[in-house]
Amino acid sequence: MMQDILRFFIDNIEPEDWETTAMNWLITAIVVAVLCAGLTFAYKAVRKATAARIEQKIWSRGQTWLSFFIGLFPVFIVLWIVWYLNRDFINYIQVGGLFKGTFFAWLLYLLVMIFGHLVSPWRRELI
Amino acid sequence: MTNVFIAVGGSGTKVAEALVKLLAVGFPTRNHNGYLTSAGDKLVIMRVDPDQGAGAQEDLTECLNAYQELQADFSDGNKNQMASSRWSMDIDTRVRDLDPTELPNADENQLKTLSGILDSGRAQEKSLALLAPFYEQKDLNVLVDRGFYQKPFIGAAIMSVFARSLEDDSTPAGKKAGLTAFSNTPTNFFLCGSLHGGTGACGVPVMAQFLNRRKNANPGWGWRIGGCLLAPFVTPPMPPFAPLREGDTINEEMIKQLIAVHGTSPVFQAMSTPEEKQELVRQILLGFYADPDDMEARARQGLTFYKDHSSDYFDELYLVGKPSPNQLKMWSNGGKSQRNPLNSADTVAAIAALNFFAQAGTGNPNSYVIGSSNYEVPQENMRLAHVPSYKIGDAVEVEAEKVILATALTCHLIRHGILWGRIHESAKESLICAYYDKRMGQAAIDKGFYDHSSGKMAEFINGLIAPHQEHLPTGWSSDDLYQIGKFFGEENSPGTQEIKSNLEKKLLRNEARGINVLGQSETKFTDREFGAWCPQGDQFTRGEYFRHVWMQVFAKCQTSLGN
Repeated sequence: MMQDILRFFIDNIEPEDWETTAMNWLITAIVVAVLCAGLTFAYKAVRKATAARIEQKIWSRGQTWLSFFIGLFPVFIVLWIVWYLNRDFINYIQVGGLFKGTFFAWLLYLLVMIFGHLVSPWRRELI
Repeated sequence: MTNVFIAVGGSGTKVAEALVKLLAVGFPTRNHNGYLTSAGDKLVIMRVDPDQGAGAQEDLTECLNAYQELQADFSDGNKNQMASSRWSMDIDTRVRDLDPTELPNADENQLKTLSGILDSGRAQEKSLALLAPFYEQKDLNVLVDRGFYQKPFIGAAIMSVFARSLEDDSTPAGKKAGLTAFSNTPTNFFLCGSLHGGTGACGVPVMAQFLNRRKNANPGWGWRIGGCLLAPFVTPPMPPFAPLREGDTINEEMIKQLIAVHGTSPVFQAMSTPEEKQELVRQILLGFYADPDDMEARARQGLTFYKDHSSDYFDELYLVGKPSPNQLKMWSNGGKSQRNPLNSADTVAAIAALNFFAQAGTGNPNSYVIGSSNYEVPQENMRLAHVPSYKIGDAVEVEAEKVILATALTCHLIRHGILWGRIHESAKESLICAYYDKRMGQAAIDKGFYDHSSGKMAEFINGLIAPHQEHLPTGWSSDDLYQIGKFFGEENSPGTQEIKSNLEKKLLRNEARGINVLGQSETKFTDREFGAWCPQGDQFTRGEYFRHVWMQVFAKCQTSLGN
C-alpha cells in the first residue's frame, strides 16, 4: 500500500532505494505545504493586527479564498527550488513527480488552510 | 411628559418649525436611565393665527411631514399621524390650527374685520358700540384674515373674544384645541410669538392669561406655562409704495393706478385675484403693514406691558432678539408670499422651548437672567458654538454644536462604519453585525431605512443652519454646514474618507489616528470602539440603536471649553 503511494510520486524506479527518495520527496511536499500554510496564516494575522480600519481587519470570503490561492504559488516555487537543488529528485522524481508532488502539497496546503480557518475565530470569513 | 407648543402668528410658527428640526436632529429633553433623549415625551403643536394660508404654515407642514418620515424610518416604517419612535419625541403631526377670527355661529361671523368680530354672535354683548370710540374707522374695517399688521391693539380685542371661546369645547377653536385632554395631565405649555408684531404681540399675553387662569383653578394638574418673545431679529423692507399722507383719502382710480405700476412686483404676482390686489393696495395706503421704523419702539412698549401686566402668567419667560436685525429683501404682508427662511434667532427661541421642556430652569425665578458673552456674536455669521446651551438634570450640559456633531457622526458611522456587505464576516468584531447575522434579510431592510433617515437628517441640519445670504437672511455662518457636509458624503467622497481616516487606529495602539471636529467641539475614538456599541438585549428598534450610538458619540464629544 505504502509502496503504491510512493510509486505515485516518482517517475524513475530503477535505483534500489527509490522508495527512500520518494519518501523524502513526499516529506518535502508535506513540510512545504504546512510551512506555507503557517506563513499564510501568519501573514493574515499580521495584516489583521495592524489594520487601521475595521473594514481592513475583516476579510470577506472572496479575500480569504484569494489569500489561499496566492499561497499556492510559494508552495510550487519552494518545491521547485528544492527539487532543482537535489540531484536525486531531478534524476528519479523527475518532472512528472515534481507536478504530482506539487498537486499533493497544494491539496494539503488547502486542507490545512480550510481546517485552520474552521477551528479559528476566522471561520466566518470562510463559511 | 406632554408638551404643548403654542405658536402665535408667523414668528411663532417659524420657531415651531425650528423646534421640530431640533428634535429631529436629536436634541434631548430628559435623561432616561443614563440616555439623553427626547423619546417618550410627547409634543402637540397648536397654531394661533388668522392667516391660515401663511407661508410659515406651509413650511411647518413640510417639516412635520419630513419628521413623520424620519420617525417611520426609526420605527416600523409606517408614517403615522403620531410620529413616534425611540429616537426622538412623539409629535402629533396634525397641527391644531386655531383661527382667532373663526368664532361660533359662523353665519354671524363672516366679516373678518374687527367690527365684524366685535359684533359677532360670540361677542354676545354686541361690543362694537362700546369699543368703537377706541378705534379709527380704518382699524375697524381692515380685513384681519392675514394677521394684525403690527397693530396689536386690533388683535387684542379679537384674541380675548377667541380666548373666551376656548373655554367651551363645543366652539370651533375649543374643539380643535381639545384642552380637556390635558386636564389632570402634567403638561408644559410653551407660547411663542413676536413681541413687536401684531398676532404674536396680542396673542401671547391673552393666551397666557387664559392658560394661567385654568392652571390656577386646578393646581393639582401640574401645568407649567413658559413663553418666548421674539424681539426684532429681522427687518422687513418698506412696501413697494408709500402710505397716504394725513388727510388724504383712497379712491378707486388711485388703487387701479398703483396696481398698474406695481403689479409686476412679486408680492402682487403671488396673488390670484384682482380683489386681493386691491385689498393689499388699500392696506398699504392705510398703513396696515409692518413698518421697520416702528419695530424697536413697539418691542419696547411690549416689554413694558409684560413687565406691568403679563409676566406673572408665566413660570418662565424668555426673550430672544438681535441687536442688529438681519435685513429681509422680499416685502410681504402675510399670506403665501411671506416665506422667510429660518433665522438663527428662531433656533435660539426653539432652544429656549427645549430648556423649558427639560425643566432646566434659568436660575432664580424671581429675577432676570441676561445672556452675555465675552465677545461680540456676529449677527450674520453665527456659529453653533454661539447658541446657548441648556442642562438636562443637574449635570449634563447640552450644547448645540455637540448634539449636531454627534448626530452627523452617528449617521456616518451607521452608513459607512457597519460593513453592510460583510455582515456575517463582521459578526465577531461588531455587535450590530452579530445581531443582524442572526436575522436573515433584516440588515438589507434596515440599511435602506438608515440611508433614508441619514438623508433626512442632512436636510434637517441644512434647514436649521443654512448659510446667510443676501436674499436668504438666516444669520448663520457657512463654516459649520461646510464641516457637517463631510459627514454625509457618499462612500468614496473625500469627506467620508477623511472621517474614516480619523477613526482609524494607530499602529499597535488602541488610539484613534485623528479627531473629528465641528467648530469648537471634537471627538476622538476608533471604529473598533463603534463596533462594541449596541443596545442590550435582543429586541431593539432602529431608533433605539441610533440613539444608543448617538449617546456614546455625544459622551465622547468635548468642547474647547472642556465640557
